[in-house]
Amino acid sequence: MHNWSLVCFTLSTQSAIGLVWVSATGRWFGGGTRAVFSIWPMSIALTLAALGLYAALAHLSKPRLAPNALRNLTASWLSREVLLVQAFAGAVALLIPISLLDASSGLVILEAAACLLGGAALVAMTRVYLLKTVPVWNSPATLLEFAGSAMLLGGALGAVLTALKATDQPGWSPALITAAIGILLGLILKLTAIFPSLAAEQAARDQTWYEPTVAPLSIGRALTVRMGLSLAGLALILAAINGPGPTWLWSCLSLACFGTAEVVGRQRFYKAYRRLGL
Amino acid sequence: MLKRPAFFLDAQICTGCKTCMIACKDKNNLPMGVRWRRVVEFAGGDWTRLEDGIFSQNVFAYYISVSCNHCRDPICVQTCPSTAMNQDDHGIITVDPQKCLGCRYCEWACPYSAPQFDQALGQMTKCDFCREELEQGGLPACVAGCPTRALQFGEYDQLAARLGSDQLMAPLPPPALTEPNFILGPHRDAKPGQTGTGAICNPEEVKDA
Repeated sequence: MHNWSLVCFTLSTQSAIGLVWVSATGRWFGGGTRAVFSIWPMSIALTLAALGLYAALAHLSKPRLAPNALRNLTASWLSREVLLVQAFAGAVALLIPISLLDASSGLVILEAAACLLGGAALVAMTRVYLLKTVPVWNSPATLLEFAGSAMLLGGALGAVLTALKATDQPGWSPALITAAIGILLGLILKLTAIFPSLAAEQAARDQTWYEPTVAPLSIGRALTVRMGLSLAGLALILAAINGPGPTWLWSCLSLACFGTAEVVGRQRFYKAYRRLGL
Repeated sequence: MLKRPAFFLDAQICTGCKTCMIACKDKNNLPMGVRWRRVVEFAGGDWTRLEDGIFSQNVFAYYISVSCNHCRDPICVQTCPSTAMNQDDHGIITVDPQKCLGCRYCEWACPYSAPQFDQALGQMTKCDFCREELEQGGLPACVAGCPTRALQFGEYDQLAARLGSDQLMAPLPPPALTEPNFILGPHRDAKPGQTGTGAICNPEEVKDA
């Protein structure tokens, strides 16, 4: 099975959710910073969510039957995931004209709705993989990983956007602080996921008969690559905040490091698939 | 037609000839790589040193013929986002080709590898218990084809009352997972359903395409 479409879907959607969280929180902490500042983050979040939905469509063998994916909302987490991601994208799409109108009161309500829908979509996305027949995924590590990806990539994207408009808000702006907190939280969630993830990997090895179809990067090697890239990303974001040179360059490089680490991790997540029984 | 049809396999007399697989492929005109019924070869064993220093072996091998077990708690029906996987009043699970998106989520979930992806159709396909045969009082092709009568089918309650329904036999998953309509007569060398006791010796024949 090809995993790239699913890697793209999950990472794009999670980045979009994280960016909305970070951007909305930054605006709230900023004491009602003007609504117009939300246009860029929301436009990028919408683009990412649309890209994710397109990738999900590309995963299907019969994309023209895609509307059928909403038929089993009562039982299937995949159905719920599709609905919630679309609802989240819809809420973000509505936020853009409201930001353009600079209507702060409407923005707060919609932003809160988008944040909640994003959270619900993230939970549904996690539940899709909590299959009782797939022990390597059926672990708290999946939720920690997905939530961590949202915070980490959302924070890194937020930092890039803040850096690009640094002339408006130099120094430690509320947006930058929120982005940095997002990155830090993301990294903490990722670190917390390591032990449950190792336990799930061991459980899968003990309970399943087949090796994964394509031998994935060993968990140790994957962790080393991801941690190395994440540390580089962290160093670059610190350089963006305090260091010399152009802030936008450091934050873009930091986003590239975090993004690559996430792609490596997500590819391994899918390739580690093995289920109970036959 | 039976109220709740179930397969019964007597692993003690199954010789692993795979006629059931061939009969199923022939009856349903299945393309290469699509196997609604599969025969798993499970084997293992080692040399052990006895107290008197003599070496002895405990080698074993047995076969399990498996198709869709039309489970009572079917994970494929629960996970399918499009309701293409559906279960009728007799417990038979089928795929509706008008609804199946080809997302392959059921394939991920099913511990019996029952939903099989047909590359040409771009959709999932699976055993339907030869429903039209059952409706006319006939037998499923796999059961009709079995030369040793190791594979049979009947009313679940009768089979379960006679033989029990909680047999745990490697490499099958624990029955409590999906409550399959599948009764197993264990082989004399049957191993409990946990790893380390043996290995599937024909993975290329039974694994997902």
